[in-house]
This record gives sequence, structure tokens and C-alpha cells, in this order.
Amino acid sequence: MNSKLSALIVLIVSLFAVTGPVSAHHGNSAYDEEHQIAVTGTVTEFVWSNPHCQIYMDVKDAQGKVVNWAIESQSPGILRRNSWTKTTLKPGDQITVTLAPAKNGAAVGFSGNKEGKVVFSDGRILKMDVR
Amino acid sequence: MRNRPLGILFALLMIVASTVAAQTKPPAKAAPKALPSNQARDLSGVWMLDRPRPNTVVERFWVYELTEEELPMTAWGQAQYDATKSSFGKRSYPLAETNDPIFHTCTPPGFPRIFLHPYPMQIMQSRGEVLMLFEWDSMRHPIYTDGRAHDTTLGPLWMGDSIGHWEGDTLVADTVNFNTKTWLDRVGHPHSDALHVIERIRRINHDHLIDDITIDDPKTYTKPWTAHLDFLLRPTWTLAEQFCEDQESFDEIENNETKPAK
Repeated sequence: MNSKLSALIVLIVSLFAVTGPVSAHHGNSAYDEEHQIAVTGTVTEFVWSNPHCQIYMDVKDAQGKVVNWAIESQSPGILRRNSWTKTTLKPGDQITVTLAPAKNGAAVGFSGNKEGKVVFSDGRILKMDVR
Repeated sequence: MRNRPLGILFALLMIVASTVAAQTKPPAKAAPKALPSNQARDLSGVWMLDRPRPNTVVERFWVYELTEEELPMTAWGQAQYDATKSSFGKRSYPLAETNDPIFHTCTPPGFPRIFLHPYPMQIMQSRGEVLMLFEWDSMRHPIYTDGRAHDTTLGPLWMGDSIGHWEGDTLVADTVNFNTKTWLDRVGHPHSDALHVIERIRRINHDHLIDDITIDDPKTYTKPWTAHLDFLLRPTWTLAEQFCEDQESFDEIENNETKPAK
């Protein structure tokens, strides 16, 4: 009964999850904009470049296997307006990224919408929103 | 005790419902800051497109289209539209299939599509010229207000050729001489070489600018249609250098999105 109830609660909360619009450079069709997820792992590379910055991080999946995620963010200009710099992320940093995952299940996501954020291990939060 | 799980569920539902209600309730707005009358023609500043944001992108409009209205297309215009495969909005195609002209080549989005890119615009003014500077691709769009005629010696152009004049505190800009390599918006509405864009731009108070746009393109649309854009002043922002570069690594990410999952 309790496990069924838990599952029901998770389902209801998921259904009510309100997500923001994705304004990725190339389109919104590839990402699951309705169901954002939080991914926790270790930064392997931070690419500070136009048109969109990219975050690469190692994440342990449910089976304990390490998967390298590629996360599309926003341009350096937009990130700067959200208090980022090119050295904000360094390899080895432990972070949690809220993102819209790729619909096809690949380890790819988009974090540059109004719900997207990075939570650092010391509790700091940085957004990546366009405004 | 038996009802405790149901009680928890009910409480959770109430929390979720109140959260949703709080998110949908429009925030109280302070009275707009007035603009001194001697600054009514001063459009200068960094401006960002200001639109209500839908809860999901599946809803149309937001930064994808100029207007929510259905556009009155000619047979030729409809055929052009049917051939476009945008990766944005409701009609969005997978990235591997899109024929969006800026997708693989980083070509300019053109005018007025540039307004729909979610990046700020700076307006600078000098005697005889209102200059729009866009963060996206560091593009520029001058509107000459010194009484000159359209210059058709260059082009056809990505951003068109603009001249303007003041009617009271409204800048009326007239833009022609477009190439046909661009879409009007991010969902693929087309235009022809007959595109004529008329804008009525006005700073309605200190922090807000409006642009009422008329699209007149008789080859593509059976009648002229209009769009209304709102912009919000961003006094602490500066434009960053931004070029649509490094397409290669970006393509790699996006190819992974369109490949079947491993």
C-alpha cells in the first residue's frame, strides 16, 4: 500500500511539475520540455563558447555505471548576466544540474531555460536564463 | 490511522495546487516610471523582448512567432510555408530534418526575425540615425531619419534598408530591399523579395518600448498583417560579443539528441 501510494504521489507531483520554455538555439523538438530532471555528478569539461556553452559531467546511472552527460546551456553573454564567468566550472567540481533531457534517452540535456540551474556542493545556485 | 496516507496525499495535492495557483497569478505591478517629455524621443538603452512566458513551450508564440494570429497566406506563401521544416514550436521537426536557414550555417536570421532571438538589443541615437545593435551575431540595423530615400544600390540585404521619420513621439521606420534567404520568424513563416516592413516604435514610459510592426508582402500574404512587440529596459545590462561560432561541437551535442538512444 505504501509503495503504491509513494508511486502515486510521485506520479501526481510529476504531472504537476511546471517547466519553463526551452529556447535552445536550434529547436525545442529534441528535449523533453515537460519533465525536467536533476542530474548530479562531476564536471569533466566546461566549454565557454558561442552559440551556447556546454557542460560535460560524469554521472553514475542507476546501475552504478558512469555516463558522461553533455549539457547545452546558453551563450557566454547570457551566462555572464546570470553572474557566471568562464572559470565558474572546473573539472572535478561536484554539481547538480536541472535540465530538460533528450527525448531519445541519450545522456544529453538543455539547462538554459527558466527552470534550469546549477547547484554547487556549497549550496550556491546559478541560473542560466535568458532574462 | 488508516486514513493517514490519504491525508498526506491530500496535503501534497493542496501544496501542489497552491504552488500552481501562485505561479499562474500575475505579479502585482508597480506604476510605470514616467518619462520626462523632453526624453520621449530618446529610445536609447539596452532592451529585451518582454512577453508573458507560457508554462510549456508546446504552447505557441513566446519567442517563436511575431503574432499568435493565423496569417493570411497566398497560395504561393502557403506552399513556401509548407516546405519549411522548423525545429521550433508546435510544427517542430527533428533537428536532423530541419531546413531552418540558420541551422547548419550560422547565416543571419534577418529582419524582423532577429527580434525573436532571446538576446538583448541596444538602441543608440545620433542626429539623423537611430541605430539598433543586436547581441546576436553582433548585428546592426540603422534607421536613417535625415530625410534620405531608400538606398537600393546594395543588396538585396539580410536586414533590409531602413529609413524613418518621427510622428510625434513615434518613430515610423520603413524597411525594404530584403533577400529571400530568411524566414520572418522561428517557425518558418516565409516572405518574398516584395517584403515591406513598417514599424511604429515608441517609448511609452521610462522602462517600456513598444514596436507595432506591419508586414506587407502581397506575394506571400493576401493582406498586410500586424504584430506587437514589447521591450523592457535592462539598465544594468551590456551587450556581449556574440557570434554563432563553434558549430562543430554544437552539432555533435545535437546529433546525440537525434540519434537513437544507446
